[in-house]
Amino acid sequence: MKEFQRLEKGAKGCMYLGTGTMSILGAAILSGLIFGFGWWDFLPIKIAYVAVMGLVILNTLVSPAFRYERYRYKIDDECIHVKEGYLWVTETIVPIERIQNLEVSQGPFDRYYKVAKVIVTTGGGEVSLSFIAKEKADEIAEYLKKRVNEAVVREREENGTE
Amino acid sequence: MELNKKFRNHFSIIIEKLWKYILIIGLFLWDMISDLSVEETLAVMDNLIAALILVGILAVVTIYEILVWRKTWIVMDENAVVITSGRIQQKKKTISLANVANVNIQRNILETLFGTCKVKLDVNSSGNMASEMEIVLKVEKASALQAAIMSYVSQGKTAHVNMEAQEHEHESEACSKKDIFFHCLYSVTIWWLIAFIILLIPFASLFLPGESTEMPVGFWEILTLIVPVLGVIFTGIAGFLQYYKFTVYRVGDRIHISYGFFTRKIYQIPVHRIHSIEIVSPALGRMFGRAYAKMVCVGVGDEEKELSLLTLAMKQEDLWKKLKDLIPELLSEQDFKGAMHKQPSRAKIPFLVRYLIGMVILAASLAILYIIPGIPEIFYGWLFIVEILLQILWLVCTFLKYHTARWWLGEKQMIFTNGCMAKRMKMIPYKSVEHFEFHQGPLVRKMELFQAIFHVKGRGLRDSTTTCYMEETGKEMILEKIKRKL
Repeated sequence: MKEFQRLEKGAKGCMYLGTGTMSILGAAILSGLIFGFGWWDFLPIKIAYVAVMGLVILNTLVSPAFRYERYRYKIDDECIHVKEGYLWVTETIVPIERIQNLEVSQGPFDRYYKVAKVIVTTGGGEVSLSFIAKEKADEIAEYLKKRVNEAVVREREENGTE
Repeated sequence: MELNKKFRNHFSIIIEKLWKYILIIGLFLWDMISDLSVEETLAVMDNLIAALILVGILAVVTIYEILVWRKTWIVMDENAVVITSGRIQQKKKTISLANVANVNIQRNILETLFGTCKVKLDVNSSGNMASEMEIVLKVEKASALQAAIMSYVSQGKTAHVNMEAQEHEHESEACSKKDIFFHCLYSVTIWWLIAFIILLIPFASLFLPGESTEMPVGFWEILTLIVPVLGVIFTGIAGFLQYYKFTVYRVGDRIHISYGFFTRKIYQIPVHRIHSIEIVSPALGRMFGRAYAKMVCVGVGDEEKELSLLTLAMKQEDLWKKLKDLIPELLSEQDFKGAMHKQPSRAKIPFLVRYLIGMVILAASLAILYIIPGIPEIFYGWLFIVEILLQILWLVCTFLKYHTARWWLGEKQMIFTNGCMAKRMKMIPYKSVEHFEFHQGPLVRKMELFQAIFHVKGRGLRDSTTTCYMEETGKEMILEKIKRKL
């Protein structure tokens, strides 16, 4: 996996479902606040509400496609690289030797689309490889586990010979 | 310290846990008794019942704490420190010695009276299990436990020394009251200074001759003015006492730090556990060429009142000399003086965009205030002045932020500066980086710039540093240098 990999098709559906659900929840809470407290009669709030709703709909329609196209990951001899984002793009790099914990997790949407998340924890926090096909995620986790164990053994040997 | 031998916390832990309850109930009872008058003698029985209930509650809490103390056992074996507690619901907390980074000692006034201290284990891995472990022991016993654990951690390489005795030896190196006073003074933030001046103006006007003295001023008006000023003074004194006898020195591969008047904290930090160093020039200190050094280290600074200072505020050249004495492994200022890189000139554009967005938001906020019904027209002039001041402040902050940001990639470590009124310089060894990110917004990506975020182990186990804007070619340089140190 030394070249950047794209996500599989199922990931796009999962992204749409996840973003759509969050958007509906957000819109429901905002609408509840606006209409529940009777703020709708106030013109600036009305304008802001319509603008926010427009942005939410636009984001739901556009962002999953962009995020899917942009998402890339690779695992080379030393590091894990994850490129992701929509407007703001982030490339995260995790040296394999720094991994402390490994976890493969699957939410309900992930299970439906047969994808999973590989979460790696370093001393500096968590980084996840998301929307990976389940079998591939298990393979990656197994490979990383092996590499981390090798690094631990090497470190112990080095300390022992000091 | 004998392995596999059970021992209890010192009984003073019970008093430490109970004194707050005793104080609250005591004050409550005092209030109850002092309120009694001859006319209220009929209510004595009611008061007595209430008092008995309170004393009963205190007795129950005391018995509970005694039982907890009796059932709590600490044991150290070859691999771990284990604390077992409770009989009905038994709890067992285990800290693997392999995960222990450091063992520190803390003493508050009560513990000083009892001749005890708290032993605090700092661990490398995530979670706060170690901070949940409460170990209070007599000083000699605590020193022995510390020695046993540290001997495991350093694999017998480090000879144990009694921290208390060593602190006494280095008493002459403690910072003077004058140093602490100036540290507190230079550490004052501009925002704090502005708030203090705003508070002081109406207070001072009370004593100025003129029209205002002719106005009758009531007790409550004076009190309202005095309380915030006293609050500020009290905060200053508390800060001063926190740094009391701040002492830092190096013995072998360990930095020893101790400070505090009411709660004396003593740390021994292995140099290799310091993941990065931060040189801070607070706004006032920056004007007078003063700065202080902080460290990012697992277990230090992760509690609210815990300092992570390496030095107090001092002249820049003295600070570098002190750091050279403490951590010669660290670069000296000469290594990178004049070599720090500015951001590319096109990085002005994202700063300008951010400034314009902030400016529009500030102007829009003012416009909203004008249309809110109920604000008297008399305040419109004041609102306009505040708006102008905020706009100027925003412009100055943006300019200073751009001007302060610098970067340098050395052989062993990298250095980044940032800040607005204050200036922060972060020195991060490549080997301390746990993972990192390259971040690009839409505009910055178009301009082939990026910002990096480095995550290291630190306060609350995590700490991150965001860099200034750098040329996109810098990504490869950073990646290569970090890979080389793996």
